[in-house]
Amino acid sequence: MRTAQAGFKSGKGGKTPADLLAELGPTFRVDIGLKSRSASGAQPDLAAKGVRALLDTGAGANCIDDGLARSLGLPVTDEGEVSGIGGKTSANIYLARIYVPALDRLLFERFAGVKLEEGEQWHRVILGRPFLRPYRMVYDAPSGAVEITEA
Amino acid sequence: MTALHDDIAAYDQARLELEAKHHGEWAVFHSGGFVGVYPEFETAASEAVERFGVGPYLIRQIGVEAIQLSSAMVFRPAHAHGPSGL
Repeated sequence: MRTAQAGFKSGKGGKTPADLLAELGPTFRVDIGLKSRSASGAQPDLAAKGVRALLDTGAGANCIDDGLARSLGLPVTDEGEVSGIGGKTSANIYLARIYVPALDRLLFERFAGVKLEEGEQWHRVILGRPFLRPYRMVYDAPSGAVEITEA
Repeated sequence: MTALHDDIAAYDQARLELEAKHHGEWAVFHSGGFVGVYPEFETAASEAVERFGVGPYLIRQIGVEAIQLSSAMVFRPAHAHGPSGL
């Protein structure tokens, strides 16, 4: 059973790990692309590395910054609609390979293209409930720790 | 995006038959034509990328039009709006 940490171990700039978790949310660093450039069996080598991904139990879809998706040349595989507190907007649905080093997990995912950078978000990817479905998540706000475990 | 719209139109034409025989599975369409049906998304995606690279192509779960409700974010597939998907 694999376990990964998505919280904050240490503080920064006078903020405690609990402050950072409250401010930024559970975060993984992930690699994203379409095809791995490494040999089969080796660690995946995708085009974008260390991309900040928010683990968001409030998101009904995985999302990616639309500009990042375009710059990576990700294929558009459907159309959809994203809605939230800002209203509704149509969105491209991109296909991407995502590698999560903390879980040593490589998989295809669908991502709705959204304007995270334009919205001055710290993250460039949102991993919502579709991604989280196989995991157990323990959110320990006072310590700033978030533990993700394969169920 | 015309090519993707061709794929969506082709899906809509085949939708009833696909839903009758392959509900819940994943369909792939490319260049306005049917490519195949796959039990898992991972398999459908692998096949599409291997054969058609950066696309575009349509990968859609057959018969699944559920609206995923959430207080923070909702995702509604375009094809949930009506038969044309547009």
